[in-house]
Amino acid sequence: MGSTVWIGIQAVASREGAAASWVWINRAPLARYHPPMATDGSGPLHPVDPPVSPAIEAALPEGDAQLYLHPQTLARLGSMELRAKMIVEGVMSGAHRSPFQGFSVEFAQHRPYAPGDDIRHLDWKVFARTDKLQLKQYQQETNLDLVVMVDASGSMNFGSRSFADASGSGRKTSPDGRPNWTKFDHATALAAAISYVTLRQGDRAGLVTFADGVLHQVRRSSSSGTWRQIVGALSQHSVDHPTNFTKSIDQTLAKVTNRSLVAIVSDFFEDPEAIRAGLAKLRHKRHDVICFQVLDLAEETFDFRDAAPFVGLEGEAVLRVDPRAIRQGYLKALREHTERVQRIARGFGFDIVRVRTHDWLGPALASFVARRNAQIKRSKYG
Amino acid sequence: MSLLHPAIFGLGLAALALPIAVHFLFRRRRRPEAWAAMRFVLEAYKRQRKRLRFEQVLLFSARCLLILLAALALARPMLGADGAGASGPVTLYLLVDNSIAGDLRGEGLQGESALDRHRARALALISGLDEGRGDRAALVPLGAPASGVVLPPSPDLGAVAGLVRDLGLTDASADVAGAFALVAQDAEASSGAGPVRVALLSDLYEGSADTRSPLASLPSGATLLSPEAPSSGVANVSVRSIEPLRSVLVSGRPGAGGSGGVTQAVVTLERAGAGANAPESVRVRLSAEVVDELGRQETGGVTGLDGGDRAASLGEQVARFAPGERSATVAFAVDLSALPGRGREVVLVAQIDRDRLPGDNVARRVVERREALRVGVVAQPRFGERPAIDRFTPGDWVRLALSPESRDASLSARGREIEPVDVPAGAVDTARLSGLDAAVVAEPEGVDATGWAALRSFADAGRAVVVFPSADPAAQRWLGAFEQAFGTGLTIDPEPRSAGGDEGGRGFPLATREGEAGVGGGEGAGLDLFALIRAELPALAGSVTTARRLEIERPRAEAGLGARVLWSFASGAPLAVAVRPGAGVGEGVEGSPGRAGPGLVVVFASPLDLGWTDLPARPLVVPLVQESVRQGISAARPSRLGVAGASLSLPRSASSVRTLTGPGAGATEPVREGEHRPRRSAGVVAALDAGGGSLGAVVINPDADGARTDARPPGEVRGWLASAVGDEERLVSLDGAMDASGRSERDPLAGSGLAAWLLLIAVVLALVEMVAARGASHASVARAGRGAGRRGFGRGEAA
Repeated sequence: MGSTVWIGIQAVASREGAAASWVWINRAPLARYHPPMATDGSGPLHPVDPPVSPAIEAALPEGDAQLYLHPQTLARLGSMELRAKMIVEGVMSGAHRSPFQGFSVEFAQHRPYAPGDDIRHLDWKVFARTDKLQLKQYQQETNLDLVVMVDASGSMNFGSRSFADASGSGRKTSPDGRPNWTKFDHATALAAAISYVTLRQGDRAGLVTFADGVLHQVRRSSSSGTWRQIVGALSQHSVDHPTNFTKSIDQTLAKVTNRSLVAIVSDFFEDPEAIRAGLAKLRHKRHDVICFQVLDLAEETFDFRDAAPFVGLEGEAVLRVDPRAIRQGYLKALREHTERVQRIARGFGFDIVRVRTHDWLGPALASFVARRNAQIKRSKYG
Repeated sequence: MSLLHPAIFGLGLAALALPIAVHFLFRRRRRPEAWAAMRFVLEAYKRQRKRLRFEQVLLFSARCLLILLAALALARPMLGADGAGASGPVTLYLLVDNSIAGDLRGEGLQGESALDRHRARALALISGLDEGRGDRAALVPLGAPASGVVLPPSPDLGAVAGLVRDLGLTDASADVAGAFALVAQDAEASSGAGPVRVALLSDLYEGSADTRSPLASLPSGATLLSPEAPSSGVANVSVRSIEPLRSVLVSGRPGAGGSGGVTQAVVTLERAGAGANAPESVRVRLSAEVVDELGRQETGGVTGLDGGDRAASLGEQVARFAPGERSATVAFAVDLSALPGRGREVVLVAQIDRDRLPGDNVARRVVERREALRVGVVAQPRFGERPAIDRFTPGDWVRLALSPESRDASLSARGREIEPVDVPAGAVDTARLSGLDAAVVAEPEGVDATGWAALRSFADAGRAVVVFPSADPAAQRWLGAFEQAFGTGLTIDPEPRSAGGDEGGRGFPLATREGEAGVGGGEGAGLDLFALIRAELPALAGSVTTARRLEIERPRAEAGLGARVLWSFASGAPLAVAVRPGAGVGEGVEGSPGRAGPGLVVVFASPLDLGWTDLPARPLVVPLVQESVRQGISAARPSRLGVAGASLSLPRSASSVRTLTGPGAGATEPVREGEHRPRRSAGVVAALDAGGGSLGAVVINPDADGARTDARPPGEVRGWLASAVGDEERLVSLDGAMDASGRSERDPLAGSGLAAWLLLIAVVLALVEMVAARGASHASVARAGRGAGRRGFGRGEAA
């Protein structure tokens, strides 16, 4: 259900460990969680035994949620509220601005009276002051549809962080036996988090996994089982296809007809022009888009010392090369690509945020949401 | 350019495969990395592909070149030394210094000798050869005279190495020039296609590096490997000689008294090397060994010829070197009367304490002990009673001078040490002269040509002949027959010179000062017969008046080595001249010390006749005649002294030689015409006649010249050696090729400079390769987030 307008998690600071409130949803992982230490040696940044909110404890995610959502992440999601920056088209009235202007709660503007207009909406105060007939128009509020598009191509199947370190379940390996935490795992966690937030605030959430096309879809719904469906679908998804971003966008847009908030979770290791084309189509359909670029630390540093053949995860050629010899060139190419993708996304007015698999998801997500909401508020009142 | 060790270079070439092999081995073993951001890897690779390939080619080339240079340096290249492009089997001539200098020891007299070091170095050089390639090695020990132990070179390197190990020391000097001549001759004769290397393994002290001896030119392209000449010498004292004043000691017949065989022996020491400017004292011991009549070693008592404990000690002295003094002498009183044994020959042994070069610490000398000397007096025989003194014939005067009678008992006893034997002047023949030690021709006019020939034969047998002119002034025709027989080269005017107005009534006075006497005239060594009485001669000569004399022309310079003026008149005309038979016609006269030829003639200018001179009536006549006989006998006898490495002069009648001491003791070897092969080891041998009888012992002393341990100027030695190869570039230093112990060969051609340069370039190249490798791999870039992602990458790892 729709919540009160302009309330949310403004107090969430970006600095890790300075959260305004602590929520702990599961006591079990707490023992295995080692809070990050302060750089000045003053001790752990977080309280060792933070208080547990009974409200959050009652809303514990179950099953696979613990696999991907670390308690720290979940703690940050408690007061988070995800809002659409752009106007979305909901089917119900809610917390989000509707493109349909009418006579609802939120005043929007005046317009001159025309014969035939309902005189109930005349602003008599204006008439008294100006001797002109003006009609009051109102902003209609509606609900938010979140479509989470998760990249399930082969390049997402890479990770250098240990599963036990990143997972909130305490397991040392993934259910399929992997010891490492891949970008897809991180994307899964991210999707679960924002879906959780969306569903919790009464909006609808849906899932689209894509690679060389749409691979799997969870219909948008605000029902209580939707979150589990999303997480369950992601946790069992295969990650071995090549990428076709444009095609995936086309197929998604064929399903999503109303204006929605589209969260694309991908590494964006795709041709920038294809990305531009895909985002352009989303922009054309007036969707609000948040791009989450998931990268692994190894990809950002390319810190190899021994020459080794590199095997592409999406069927690229095997390349035997001294990694030290091409490191600078690689980093430059990656930086250029990332900056170009960012320019493309921001050129369409979309948010884009880089998420690292070695970083905790909660602080990064909270920081981003807070920044985004502040921006929305400024644009509304500015 | 050629290589000393082509096999190493071959290994180096094979090692070029190492970088390639390493590349493929690591390529196969490395685990593939599954990678998501492959598009950026490919993009970076495409951007830098040309540079990467260039760097890889550069690095690969540098590494290959590095290996190649290292292999080349280890293979010891020699630019031009063996001829451009010279290849094929190596011929190595090993000239190993086993001379007396090879016994040089280190400080403290311990450790290995110089020869040990030379052997080790030679073995190392042999080990560097490749038998499979057909390399050959020759071995020429330098102990004089140099001769090839393995020459021409042998391909059996193992056998050569065995001979090197068995190579022993000699007491001779180093015959470097002779060795080079042998090598040059052999190398020219063989003229193989491969490189020729000559390794001179010697310390090159003054005794070995006789830079005055020209070296034979080695074949073109040959390389001479040699150590650097030392810049400073090694302190060493050597026994240069032992010189008894008389080599024939007459003890007198038993019961007749006499001098008892007492004489004096002077031992001369010489020191060399560092420390010559400091005072030094050296203990000298003198001992004696007796040789029996058959040339065998005496077996009883304390006598012996081993120079060891069995020798009879004759005393001990201390020789003192003053600062800066190189030579010192010490005199011993030698009394042989107490020596037991029947042998007439005694070997005197002078020995000093052991020093760093032990080989030259001993010297020997043969002396002869006799009861009496038998001297023939060639004159008209005297029958009946001796006439009154005014009617004495020259023969009578000679007999009296040889065997004087006096109321002085000691003088009479000494007179009995010489036994005059009458030899009729007209019947001089070999039979009458046999058994005599000397002959004094008092009346030469009676000797016919046959007699002079017999006397010449007598002299050639190592006897002394003393000739006085005829007392008949008109009967000097004997001079022609004499000169024809003896060939002395002396010019004697047959016309007597009478004292005229110039001399007044004083006649021809004898010189009363040594300088005035003009002693010498010739430089004949060993002919200074009056040395023992020279101090008394001026006083005795003053009373002598000579009315007539024959004019003897002073010996010419070219005959100088074989003639010597013993005393002169005050006018400078010789009174007596000692000359070797044949000196005038150059017959085998050797004038070097200790190597005088056999036989001696002493010619006087005046007969012992009162009509010519009052000398017979003066005291001078006795020492004059006796010394002429006594010392003449010593000087006329064949040399009893040899030097290791030099040919031995033996009596012409000698048919064999028996070794008494030293290596091969007891063995007998035949000799030919009085010459025996050089012996490289010191010792004592006995010359034997055809019947096996002893003709006398001969000692062979270490060659002290070869033991000189002074350092010659290194530049001079280097130039001397370079003269053999024509170019100093072909002269390669062996120094630094050995470790401290000298046991291992490192790089005999390191001194050529080329190998060092190659190594230097290789090191520089290695540094460049390291820098280039780091630069090419960007290994110096800071590793941000190092270690964060070193675990497996992704679930799709290709491994």
